[in-house]
Amino acid sequence: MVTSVTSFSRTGLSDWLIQRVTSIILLAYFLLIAYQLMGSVDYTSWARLFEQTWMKVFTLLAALSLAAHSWIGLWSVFTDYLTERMLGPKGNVIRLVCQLGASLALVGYVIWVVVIVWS
Amino acid sequence: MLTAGHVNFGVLFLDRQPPTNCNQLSAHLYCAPMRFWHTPNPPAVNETNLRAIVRPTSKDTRPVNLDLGTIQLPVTAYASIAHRVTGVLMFFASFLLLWALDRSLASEASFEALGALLSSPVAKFLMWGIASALTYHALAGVKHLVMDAGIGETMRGGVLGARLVFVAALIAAISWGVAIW
Repeated sequence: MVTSVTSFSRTGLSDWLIQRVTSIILLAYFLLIAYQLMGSVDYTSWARLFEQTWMKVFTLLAALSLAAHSWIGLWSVFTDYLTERMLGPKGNVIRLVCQLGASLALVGYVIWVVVIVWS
Repeated sequence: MLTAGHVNFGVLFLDRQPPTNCNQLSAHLYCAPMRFWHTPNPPAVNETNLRAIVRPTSKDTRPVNLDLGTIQLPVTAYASIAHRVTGVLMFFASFLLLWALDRSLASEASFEALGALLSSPVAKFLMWGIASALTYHALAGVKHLVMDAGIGETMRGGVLGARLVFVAALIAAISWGVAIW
């Protein structure tokens, strides 16, 4: 079996499941946010929502899901298009640089959410 | 050898084989329901729609890809490509969304400042674009889950699903436009 060192969970089977579980978490979170934003929103109720523990946990869960989901999705895109066949001899280097950049950005997103919600 | 993650999943789960007359196939074409390749009259792959790319260091002269520019893609392929494009867009849009979340919760003053900023035409267009892209991506994702459950896996079902997603996403985009402006 060929495994890839840059995929999220090393195996396609596991990535497949993670992609679906995280998609459902993100869908639920965005539906909640969309519901909250319907109608007029004022600072007091908005801030009160994010003060509650369940909302903090849900937001952190959504951020972790976003990171895993994006990693798997971007990995699929990178390994399809940023290759030596598509880009020539530098293809592999370009792909690894993009993968590294995306991974760092996603870690940054998660840390940012922690700072926003938990501080 | 197939490279895309979701292609591997398809092979793993559905135990269906790629066509034997090419050894590398674009993910999006292959993303069409697998039964596409098992119909009695599969799409012709011949000299006119197959471009042979010979690796200079290899004696293997078999063609390694289908030139997507010269063949007609099914609507399922466009649905797949749009799913990817909107996914990549959401990766970048997440930065803006997180920034907005940060501003909305930092203080009452920053909340009001964000509200004023978001009423500008450029911000409204960005919000509309992000909401529409996210809605398309979510709808296409739900279609994936439905197909994972074994519903609409045939070519006809796949085409119908892709069309439904495009129509629903268009209606959603119009609705977002009405809601934002």
